[in-house]
Amino acid sequence: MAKVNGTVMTIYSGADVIMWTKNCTLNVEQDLPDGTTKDSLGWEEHINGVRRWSIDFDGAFDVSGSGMTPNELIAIIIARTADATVKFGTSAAAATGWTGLATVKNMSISGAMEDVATFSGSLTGNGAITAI
Amino acid sequence: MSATHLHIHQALTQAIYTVLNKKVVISGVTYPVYKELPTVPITTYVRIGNIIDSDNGTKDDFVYAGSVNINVVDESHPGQTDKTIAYSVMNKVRSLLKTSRSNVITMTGFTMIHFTPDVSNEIIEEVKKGFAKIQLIDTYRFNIE
Repeated sequence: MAKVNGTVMTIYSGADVIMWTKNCTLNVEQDLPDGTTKDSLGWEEHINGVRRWSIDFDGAFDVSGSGMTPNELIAIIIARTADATVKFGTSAAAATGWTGLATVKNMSISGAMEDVATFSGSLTGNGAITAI
Repeated sequence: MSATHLHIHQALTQAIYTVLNKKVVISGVTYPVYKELPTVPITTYVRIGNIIDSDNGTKDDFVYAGSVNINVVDESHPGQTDKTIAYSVMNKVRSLLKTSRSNVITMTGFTMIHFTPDVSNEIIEEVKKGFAKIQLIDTYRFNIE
């Protein structure tokens, strides 16, 4: 199998990479409303419900960098900036990965005593996510 | 931040040496600082000891997390285990390395994010019959980019 080094999996907002991340996770799910009836022969059944997706990330906090910094992501929340096209993949130009319109839902910055300051946040999909 | 993977030991040792060298002065006596084991007989000295580090970076860069030992060695009291001089020297070293809670050392080619006092240890051994060797070892944790 062709394993992928997780280091190359990154998040892009337009052409800008979200900087200084250590981990990123793409979550895709759907609700499964119950469709069980007396005719289900004792087995639970369901139908396909609402789908949603989100991206979680965390990293080492830094105010600099030529990309999307943690501070710029916070500024997006404060300004209620319009959603951006987000890509979850190995590079902005790569022909593989996942893309969709997303909103910056939350950002956190933590400063532990005598340790590297960290940040974490999440993007919530606004509409469909599609394979590139 | 550093986009290429580099070795920090020499730069860190030199940075600590620059802070301490010729500045560990107590009651008019200057105690020497060594980056290696001294090659000349000396009874009381400071040695910048072992460094351990590992990568603690992000997907964009390298950050080095680890620890460095600062040793104070005192063999000036044959047959005794009086630690007064050793602790005086170590206190001076501490005051030079950490001038404030958030103080960090300036390094050439790197940026120190934090430099933190960690565990402290003392070793007293009989190096030969009737001769004691006192070693105080301070360990500092660091993150360097």
